[in-house]
Amino acid sequence: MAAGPADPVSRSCNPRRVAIRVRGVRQRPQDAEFEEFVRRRRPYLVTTARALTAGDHHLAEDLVQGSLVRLYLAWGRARKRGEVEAYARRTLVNAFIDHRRRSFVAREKVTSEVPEQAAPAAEEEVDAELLAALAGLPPRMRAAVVLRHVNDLSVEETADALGCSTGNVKSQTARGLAKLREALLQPASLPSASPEGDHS
Amino acid sequence: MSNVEDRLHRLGDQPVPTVSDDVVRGDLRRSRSELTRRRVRMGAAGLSIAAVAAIGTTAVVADDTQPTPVAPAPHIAAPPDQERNKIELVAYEGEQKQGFLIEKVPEGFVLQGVTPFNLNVTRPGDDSHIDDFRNKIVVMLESRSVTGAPHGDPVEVGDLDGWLRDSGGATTLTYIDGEHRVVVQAWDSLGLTSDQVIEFAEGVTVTDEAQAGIG
Repeated sequence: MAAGPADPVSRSCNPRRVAIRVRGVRQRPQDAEFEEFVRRRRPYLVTTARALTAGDHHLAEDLVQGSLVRLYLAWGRARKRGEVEAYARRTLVNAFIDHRRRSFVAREKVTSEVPEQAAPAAEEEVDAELLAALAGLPPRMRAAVVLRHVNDLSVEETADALGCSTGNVKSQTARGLAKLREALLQPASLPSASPEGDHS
Repeated sequence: MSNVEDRLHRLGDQPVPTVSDDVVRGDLRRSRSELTRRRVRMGAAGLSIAAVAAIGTTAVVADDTQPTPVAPAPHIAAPPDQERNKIELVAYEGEQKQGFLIEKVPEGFVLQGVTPFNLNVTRPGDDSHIDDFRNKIVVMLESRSVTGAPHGDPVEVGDLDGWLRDSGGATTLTYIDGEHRVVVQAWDSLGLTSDQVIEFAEGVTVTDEAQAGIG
């Protein structure tokens, strides 16, 4: 999916400029702009988050919601610098990496019940094998691969989102693709499709 | 393009639900609620800082055995917005002391002193106590008594995550340098913009001698 305004998801969502009034709350000047951004770019963020989380739709939605809150709080500054889109992307990637850091220990627990998982919109279209292979990549490497090859971002845009050098993006992406190819060549040894399965 | 890259590209084409009014309303509601929570917290933090400042002034008087009372630091009102940003940050070329190192200072400002607990930058001739933070830039480690998550508007300090807030009379930037939670406080009277506070913080290095206070 392309990252810019021409991406197919964005084109299909028909942004409307009618501000939504939250009951009992006075509208702030930035609200209408924020709403338009949500309508226009939320699908893109959700798609990115689903790839980052290797198909965990619940977690992806949580990350997107949290990122949009952070974006709203920094709206004036991000807009002034002309980098609303980039800021949203950075907060999403940071939220994903931070989530992985914070919640690894808490997530690693035995349970007798299968956790509830959100069903994908079109189950048959999901490349489960690829998602399982993605789940085996460390978070930053996975993010580099997703931003470069799922979102079609440039090396520079990916470096900006990850807060690292372009050289680092290139090396992380190359290593990530190599690991994916290796995993996809060995279907019998694939990790489970659980997006939380990697220990990185 | 390789098969793997093709398959990755197709992940971006997976259908996602359209954005309904309810979804937009939910995002806006959560965002506004968080904004309100942060404002409430900032108000409380402002009160706390005012209280600490008052206690700090008393401590200065108590520690100082001079027979005459210590004059309070002169009140310098915060300049209006249009007056801000007239101060330039310039390279600091003076003596450095272990604990906290700096690369920049506002033009004409000096390093007042460095202790394991804080570094102060102030105007020349400021002979106030090192623990009096009024009309100064102060760098310190977050108190060990603080256990909650940093609060304020998320910002980036170089490659690091930071949080910027108005703490009532001062702008306070908290950021995590990988090992420490560092606090940079710039008194409003200095006239520094938020971006300048961040720029100043980007030049701060915390050394092993730095210690976090308690309380």
